[in-house]
Amino acid sequence: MFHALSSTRPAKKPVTLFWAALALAVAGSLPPFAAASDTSRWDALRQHYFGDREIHDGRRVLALMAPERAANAAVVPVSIRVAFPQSEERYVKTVTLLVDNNPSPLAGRFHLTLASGKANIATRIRVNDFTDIRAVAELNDGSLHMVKRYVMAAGGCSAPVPMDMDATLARMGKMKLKRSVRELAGQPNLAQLMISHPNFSGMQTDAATNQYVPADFVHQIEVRHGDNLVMKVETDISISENPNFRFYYSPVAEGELSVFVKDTSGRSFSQSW
Amino acid sequence: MLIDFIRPHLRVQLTAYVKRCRRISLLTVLAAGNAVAGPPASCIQEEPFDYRVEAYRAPVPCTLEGARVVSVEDVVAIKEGGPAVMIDVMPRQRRPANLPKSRLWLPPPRRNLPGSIWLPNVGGGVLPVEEEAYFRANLERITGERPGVKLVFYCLDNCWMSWNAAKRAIEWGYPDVVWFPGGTDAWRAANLPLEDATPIPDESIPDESQ
Repeated sequence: MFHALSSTRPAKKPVTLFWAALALAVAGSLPPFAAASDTSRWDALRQHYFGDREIHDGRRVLALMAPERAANAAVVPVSIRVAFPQSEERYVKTVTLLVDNNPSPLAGRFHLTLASGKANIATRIRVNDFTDIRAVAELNDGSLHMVKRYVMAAGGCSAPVPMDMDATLARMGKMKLKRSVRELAGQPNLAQLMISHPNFSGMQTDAATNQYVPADFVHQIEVRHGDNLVMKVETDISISENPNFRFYYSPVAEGELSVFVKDTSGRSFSQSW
Repeated sequence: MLIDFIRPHLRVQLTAYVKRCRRISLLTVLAAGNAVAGPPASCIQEEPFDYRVEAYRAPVPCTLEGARVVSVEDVVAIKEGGPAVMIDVMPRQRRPANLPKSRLWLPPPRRNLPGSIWLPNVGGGVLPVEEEAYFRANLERITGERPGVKLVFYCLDNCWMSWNAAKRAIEWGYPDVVWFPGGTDAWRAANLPLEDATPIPDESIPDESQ
């Protein structure tokens, strides 16, 4: 491109050369200084999770909210808001939540449906080090749209495990679901799901034994309204202890909300409300 | 008799003098751009008794009892001077044994001070038995190979892990412990080179290339 420019417009040549030289100088000197501006990690993650697919600036599609500085790195609230409701013409198929600098960067992949009504999601995550957090929405036309936010928090994945391990294990798999008392048919209604589970990341230590606690976490969640799938979520160790999700569902008729959960130790839990 | 009378006064004056000098040198350092200062300007005056067990990225104490606290310039001088080993304690989580195979495990890469020994995960306030054994074994190896060596601990700016690790080394009786609170952030800010780091493998056998 520089060659084409300089051959057709010779007068611009020195300027072009200047920019080319500057670009080279900047590129050449990046590694020693780069921390925030180093994109090599994101390039690797992007390749792993999305291959060569194009990712658009998603600011007109969705917004990601997270605190700039989190008080507790083990429980960082994040929420994703989508600019439009789910409709046949245009809807969000998946939302991928990534925490760049966590060793296992995928926090969750939310597969949404028309029965979601609205693709807004909120949850709480662990942040291991200062990092970009990204939300990538895939629309029904297959296009990808990304927004990101920088969060300053550290140590979330290896925070100590709960003191009372017995009580924690006894509660494991118990769920609560809050749904609107005045539910509107054909409209998105907000619900909140809370799952009792320590979601051990495998990076935490037990103060009583001074040992690493093996990874043991919720990795599949399915939510249905009646027979309609509302969402299916793949989750990972970046989701906080006692996974908590706010989501929408759009009921066509009266019906129960049912939740099915599986963890990496092969346990499964289900409950309806 | 007279000397006994004078001494306290002299001591007071001397203390005042030393304090003044310190203030001046601190001001000079600040004027020069505080990236190279030893303990950061925002450090905590009161040093805690015990290890820090959580929220590691936060302002650190100005001091560590039993250790010398150093700036970038000091580290440069130490590296050029007597036998010293730079020990980077930046954590790097190992892949949990039972993590499903399909999961990507990609701890962020690390660049540290040239010639450093990277002992990840030894800066925690509570050390799992395997990490403690690893830390002990490596310190014994390092000091065994080079008696009288200075142990210079660092990680990042505002990171308690280097403070914890240095404190533990002191507790284990290592005599010449140095704490470099600025870590790789201060080193980078001073435009000094960093290099790609590889952690010392667990249960390491003494490595002659070090």
